Amino acid sequence: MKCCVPGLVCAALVSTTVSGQVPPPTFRSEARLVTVNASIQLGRRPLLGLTAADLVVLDNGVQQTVVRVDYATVPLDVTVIVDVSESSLSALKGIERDAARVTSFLRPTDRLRVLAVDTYVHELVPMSPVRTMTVQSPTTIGGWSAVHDSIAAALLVPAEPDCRQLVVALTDGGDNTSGTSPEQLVNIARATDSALVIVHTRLGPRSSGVTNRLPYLIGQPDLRALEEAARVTGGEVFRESAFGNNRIEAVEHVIEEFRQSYVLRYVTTGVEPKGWHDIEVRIKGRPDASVRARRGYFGG
Amino acid sequence: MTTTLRLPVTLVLTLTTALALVAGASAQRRSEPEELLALYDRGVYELFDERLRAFAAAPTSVETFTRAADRWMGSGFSSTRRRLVAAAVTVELAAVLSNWSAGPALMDAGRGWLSGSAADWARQWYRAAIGAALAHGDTDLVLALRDVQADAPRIMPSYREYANLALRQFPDDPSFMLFKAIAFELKSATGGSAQWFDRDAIDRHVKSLKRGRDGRPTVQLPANARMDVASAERLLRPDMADLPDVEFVAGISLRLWRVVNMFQDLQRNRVVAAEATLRLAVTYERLARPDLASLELARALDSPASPFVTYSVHFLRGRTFERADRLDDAEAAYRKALGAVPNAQAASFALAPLLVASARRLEAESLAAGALRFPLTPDPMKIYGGGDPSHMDDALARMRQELQ
Repeated sequence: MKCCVPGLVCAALVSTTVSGQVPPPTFRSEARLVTVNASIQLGRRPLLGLTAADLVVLDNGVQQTVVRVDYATVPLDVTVIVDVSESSLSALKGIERDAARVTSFLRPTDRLRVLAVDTYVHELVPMSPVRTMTVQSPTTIGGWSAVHDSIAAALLVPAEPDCRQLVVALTDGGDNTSGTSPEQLVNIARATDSALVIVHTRLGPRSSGVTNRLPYLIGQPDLRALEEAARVTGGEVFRESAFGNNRIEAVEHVIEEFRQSYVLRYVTTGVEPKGWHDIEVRIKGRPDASVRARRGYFGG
Repeated sequence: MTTTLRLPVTLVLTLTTALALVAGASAQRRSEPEELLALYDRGVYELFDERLRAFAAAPTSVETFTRAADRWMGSGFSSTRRRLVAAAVTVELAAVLSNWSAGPALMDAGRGWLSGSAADWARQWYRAAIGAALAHGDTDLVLALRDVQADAPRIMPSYREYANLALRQFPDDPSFMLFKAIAFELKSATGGSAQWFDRDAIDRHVKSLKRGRDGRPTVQLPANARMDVASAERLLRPDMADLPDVEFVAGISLRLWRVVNMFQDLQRNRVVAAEATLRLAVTYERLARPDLASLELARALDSPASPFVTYSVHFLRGRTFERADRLDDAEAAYRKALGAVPNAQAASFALAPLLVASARRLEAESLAAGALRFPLTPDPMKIYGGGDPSHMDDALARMRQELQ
């Protein structure tokens, strides 16, 4: 069973998993297993030790029963996107070294994927266990940037059972050659279980010439779409400068923070399966706790 | 009377071996460019291509290459053939250079070796050379700026204008007319999305500009303003000359209308009609006339089209449909684009969100995976400014064929 995807769950499974808790079937007997990554904090510290009984989850305003809560133990599938559109080839040589450093923050059960983005999206490291990872560095660089496509590619991966997905994009936000429009990027983000975190890097010197660009595809750095995409997944936007412009430190921070978040799972009950579902997560009796979680999902 | 020279078999064998050794030693002494020239000359293209890519990836010294080529040309029996081989290798090398800075000088060297070549061979050489220059974004090598801007600063004497050189020799060749139009199109490049100013809007603007001339800050014509030819010419009248930015903005509109005319002329030639129509549509978009662009896109495939053109037309139609919220038509258009160039990233990532939105996520995932498959498929939308590479590929293949 792919437990990371809001897949269809038959009514029988629902009845055995949350026996006696299914409300009257006012909707079709399709139910979905929904996974929610939730970062729960008191001030700047994670709030530890919560159980299903401490959590209130609303799906389109209807309270759901959390069937499972995991914390820190679930393996991670991490995709790191590196924007190389303004880099030199020699700078690319550092990718292998950087990827090796990122693996040092990961556990043996975690997996890592590395995408590089310039005019095209390149898969330098396919999703693989950290021990078997090999890096295929690009041999040429185009000067444009398909950042939206790279994030779409990262979010459009099949989810593996019993793991959760984190996408970390290191980018200045500039995009001038993506097929994915900013609006569509947000739509894809709405339909994913992955958490998207943007590490906003310094703005590189955009290629000034527009000779090879299409007017349709010309774009200026526009963080709004990226911020919105991150927000709907429960992720956020960091500035690289907050980490002394050290990208690896930024990635380490993002991974650690994500690891310390909760994974909640519930089977939808009492809601129309199709369409957009708003999700709200609260902590019982802790109004002082802040929760950052995906804002919803698209039910198809 | 015929004299037959009879040599003992052992002596013949010894001489043969000695000659082979000398030849081998000489081959070992050959420089890398000479090796490339020899491989091309012998038609060993697989190995040639492999060595060429490695050679082009390293910093290329034009002087080293031309010196080696001169040496190689002087050492053979047929200097005419060797000159053609050298000319062909320069353009093959230029096409795959990782750093284009050596490209123009290489081309010039190759062009110098063209003399004495058959007309059709020279035609293919120019097609390949201009194709390579465009693929590397070097419109200067193809067309001088003064062709585009009457008021352009004086250009360096080394300006090459290959399109004009080729057209002087082959005045009716539609490829060179297309190349010239593409170079013109790219030299009229503008950023950002254009905004159409109709006659009334221009009038209102001119009035507001005039009101502001008494020392107060004036309202500038937006840099992305586009207008018809009459309005642009009106703004360029001497009495308007001191209005801020008018010359710049009106000048862009006029240049884009010249591009329109060039592509309209080329639409009459069936060989290049499809690409000319595609580019005409893009130019209309840049003039903020999506209505005219849509009409051209709808008829772009009436003439035979390469996968580059077919993909681009369907992709852009998909974009148009998407803007009009005609999502089923957009999906069909993106699928047709991918039918022409499978796994191309722009269309794959344009189609994938439509599939996700209609609960076909698995297909979207598969599409995304295909688009990342190594080696990546060159995407026509990302190389649009380089022209259709099939022109260059075809010319390079024909040169090889001719020389065998």
